[in-house]
Amino acid sequence: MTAPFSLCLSPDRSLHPRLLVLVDDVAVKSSHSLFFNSLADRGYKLDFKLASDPSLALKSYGEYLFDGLILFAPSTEQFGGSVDAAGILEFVDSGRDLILAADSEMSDTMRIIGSECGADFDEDFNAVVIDHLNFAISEDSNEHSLIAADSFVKSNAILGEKDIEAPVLFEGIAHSVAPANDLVIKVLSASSSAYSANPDVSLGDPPALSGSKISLVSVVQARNNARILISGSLSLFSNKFFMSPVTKFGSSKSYDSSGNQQFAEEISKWIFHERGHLKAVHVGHHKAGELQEPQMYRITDHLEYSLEIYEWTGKDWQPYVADDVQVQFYMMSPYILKTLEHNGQGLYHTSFQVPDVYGVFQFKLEYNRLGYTSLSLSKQIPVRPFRHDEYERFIRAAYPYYSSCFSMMFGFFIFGVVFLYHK
Amino acid sequence: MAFIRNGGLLVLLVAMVFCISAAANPHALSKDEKNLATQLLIKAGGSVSGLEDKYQLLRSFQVLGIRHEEATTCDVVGKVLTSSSSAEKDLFFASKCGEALRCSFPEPDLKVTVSNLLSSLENKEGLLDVHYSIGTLAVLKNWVKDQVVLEDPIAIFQKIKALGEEDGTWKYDANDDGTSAKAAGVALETLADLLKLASSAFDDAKIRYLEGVTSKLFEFLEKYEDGTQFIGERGVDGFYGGGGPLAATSQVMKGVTALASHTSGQIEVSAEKVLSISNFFLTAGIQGSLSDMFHVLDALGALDENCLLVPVVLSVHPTVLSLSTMEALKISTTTVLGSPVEASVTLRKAVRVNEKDPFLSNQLLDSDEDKATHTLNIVHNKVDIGTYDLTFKVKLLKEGKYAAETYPTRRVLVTGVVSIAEVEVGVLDSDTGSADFTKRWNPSTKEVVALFATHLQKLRFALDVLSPSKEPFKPHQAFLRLKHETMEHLFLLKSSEQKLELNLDLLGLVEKLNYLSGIYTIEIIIGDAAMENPVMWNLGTVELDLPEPPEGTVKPSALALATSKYGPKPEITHIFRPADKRAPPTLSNPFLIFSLVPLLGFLVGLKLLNTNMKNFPSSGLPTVAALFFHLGIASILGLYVLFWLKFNLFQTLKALAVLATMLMVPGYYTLSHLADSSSPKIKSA
Repeated sequence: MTAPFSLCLSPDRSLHPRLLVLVDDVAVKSSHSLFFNSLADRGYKLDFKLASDPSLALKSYGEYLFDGLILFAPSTEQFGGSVDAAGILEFVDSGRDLILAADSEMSDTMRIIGSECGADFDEDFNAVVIDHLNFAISEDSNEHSLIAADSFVKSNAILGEKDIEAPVLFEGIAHSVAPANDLVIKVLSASSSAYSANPDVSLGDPPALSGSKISLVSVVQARNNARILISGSLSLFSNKFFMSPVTKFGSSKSYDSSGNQQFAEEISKWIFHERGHLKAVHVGHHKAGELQEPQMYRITDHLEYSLEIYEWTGKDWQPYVADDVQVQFYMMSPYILKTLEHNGQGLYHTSFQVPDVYGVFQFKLEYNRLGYTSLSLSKQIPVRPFRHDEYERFIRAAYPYYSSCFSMMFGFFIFGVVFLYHK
Repeated sequence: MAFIRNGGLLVLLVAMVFCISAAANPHALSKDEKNLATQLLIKAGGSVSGLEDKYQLLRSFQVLGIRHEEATTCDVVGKVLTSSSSAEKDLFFASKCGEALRCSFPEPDLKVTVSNLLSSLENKEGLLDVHYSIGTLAVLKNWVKDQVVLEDPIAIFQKIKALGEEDGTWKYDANDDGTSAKAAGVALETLADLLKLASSAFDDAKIRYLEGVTSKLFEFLEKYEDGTQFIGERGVDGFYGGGGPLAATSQVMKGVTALASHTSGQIEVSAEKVLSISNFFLTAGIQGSLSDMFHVLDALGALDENCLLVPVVLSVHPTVLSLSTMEALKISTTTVLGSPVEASVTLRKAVRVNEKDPFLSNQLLDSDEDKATHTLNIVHNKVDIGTYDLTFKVKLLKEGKYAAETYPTRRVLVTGVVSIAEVEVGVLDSDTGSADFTKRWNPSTKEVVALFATHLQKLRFALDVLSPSKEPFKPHQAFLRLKHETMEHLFLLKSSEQKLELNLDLLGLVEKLNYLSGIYTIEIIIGDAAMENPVMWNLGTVELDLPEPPEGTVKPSALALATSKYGPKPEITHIFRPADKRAPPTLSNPFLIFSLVPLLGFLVGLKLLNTNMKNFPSSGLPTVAALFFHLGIASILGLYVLFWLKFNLFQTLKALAVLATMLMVPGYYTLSHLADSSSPKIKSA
């Protein structure tokens, strides 16, 4: 089986992807303009629509009109036009990307979309994330619901090479991700003192979500390489938060501007495949010293395996360089697992000896790294035992046997002559 | 709502619920907000190109009180104004830029432009065209005083009036199929400019007409839940620039205030409406795109200084009052942009949220010299931490057209340091309730406790949280967390008898704890918005001895031990089957020689027996046949050698088949010849 690794993203992938931005209030277009501008500057074509717009459509004659969808419409209960929650999930199922931002007025429809994507929002409609130990000091909010979050996922693929130094301002609702779901990654987690509750009502029961179980921002990398961003806060992307200075409670350090802009831009690069999207091409193997790919190997053959891996940068495919790409020679279980060497130009290769076990093997390459699309390649190859004449012929220890054979043959010949012609 | 009447245009309606960032406490534009706006404007300024954008930028900076000349300069503006090929719209925005930059242009340069504009006025039909021309002329009048004389202001007035509707809305163009309040704002601004250019032409009837239009216009206000009011955008506005309710409301305010500044007090709008509109702009915030920021700032600029009615905003600073810093509450009465306005402010009442009786009432606040900043100081002596609603009474002292909300209410959070003396930790017997172990954990020493409990016991935690005035305080967050490897359990400390306490009956919790015995760490988290010292304490550990789970339950810890799927795996190399053991050459070589001994013996034996070849055919065909026969045998034996050396079985069998067939003929011949030649002898013998 060959996995659909790179076919969904051909090299001529649109350089100007079209994004549909659905808002529930036109003011969002303006109040989040820095985020939208950064997308537009990177070549995206943004199409703003009200979520209730009756002319809304994702598809036209069976073809999707957009490469990505930004749902900045948390309060939308019902979409206009032909769009509905199922349609949006279908859109994602087709390998396209989605950004979903929630806030304290999140509708059921949005919750359904979120939970279908693996993020379960707090069921209490009035609950917001509160953290009395890690809030940002601010004039506007005195409920400690403006969180200065700084526990990021450690992945350069998702958040870029440069560390985000200033905390990210977050004001919104909590969601949790199932620990067993390994497609969802918590990008921004709450601290252990955070909890999700209604600030105006005293608690009767322990909050459903608390501590580091709370995810503030999560991403999903689906098996079809669709990427989804789920943020519990819409204002995280707002101009106001982008430009706000941050002082975290209890910390003497204050930052001139929050990490929101960097965070939002870097994560949007990941969501729209400007980073971390890999494809493998020219996967091949051959016997050492040959070039042709054989139909079959013999046990103990020496072989060479090679492939090229490229990463999409938003403009073109660039060689992907990593020291941890591994290939397995696999039959029921891996017989050989070897790390590939690379030339720094995206070409990975290795050589090894086929084990002395025959059967139907696979070259299996499973590359799962946090934030990268997973590569899953497998190629079947049978391995046969020695043929009768491929065994060793001149065994030193067996010379007495050979010599006795030949001496008998020679003796037989002499005996024949003597027997026939002796008189 | 008013716009329902224009049902067909609902499609393009965009007035929705606005993002309201600080609805609870309206306040004048603060320094932080101005800084944020300035930064955003500078960012937006990097990419402006058109004159309209440049004007928006300049005007926004002007309202913020910043002189900004990067966008454009008087030279550029002058070039546009003197060029005969400039469009009216460019001329309009260029003249506005010039006004904002406070440029001065020599009179003769502008004469041509003025005369061009004056002569083409007659042909203008659309509202915007007239607006641009009249607007430009009104600005140019600052520089070329005597040149700007309208030939027939009445005709222009009638032209504008003709586009107006009964209800106070306007059409942009006679052919438009809808009217809007925003267009009315444009019309009013144009009429104000017309008034400026030819005030003598406006008689009382016309002024009364304007009064009527203004009062009708404010019937279009729509309301948000928080009481702010605005003017919605209409479908027809979309075709003429759009901009949403911000632009529409801003334009109307601009038109009305401009009109008010050129009439002598006849134009009036109710204070309640102006205040709710100013709240609309203040809560909308200045954090959007350039045009939105411009509309808000432009409107705030118009509201800040005008001859209509200047709204006065009561701002409370800080909204979070810390008891520990002994800060006083500053209440300021200012215009929307922060210019002080003299007033006397009385605190009518201060009520703690969720309580009925005011704890303070009717108190005149101390004022500064400028009578715009008032101090509420006594709060410190009586107040406890919590949220308070303060209701003020504002009486304006300054002469002129000012309006303030009479009884504004502001919410203030009072914070302070709470004290938690100790945490009582105990292990109780389930049945009797008697304490098996108690300890008073002291936050200052942070000495950890190590408890041991079985499922037949109870864990007890209790603590007192006292507010600064030594009253029991119930914090919003009072959690106890038990942590066992990957599992976490959260419990709520409930208040009872002025204490926060928690009794954990372990027997009832066995299932919740998944029958996991072992060491649990205990954490206590106490926090509240009013607490300045939220805490997260690690109390220590408790070792629980819980019963074994019933058959069939899976321990979740085993499930949680899923290995990470990321990262490289350890390498695996195949271990080949070891080679068979073989005799060493020192053994095999002697055996090699030994194996040749029989052959040698055979050859020696033949020698000893004096074997001869006398029976070999001596002549002719039998000789040839015998030679071929033995050569054949030799070659078959040689083939066997080759089989060993290089051939495989198939090659050998093929060769053998050929050789064997070839061997048969001479073999048969030779053997029968030998038989023939020997048989007579046998007979003779």
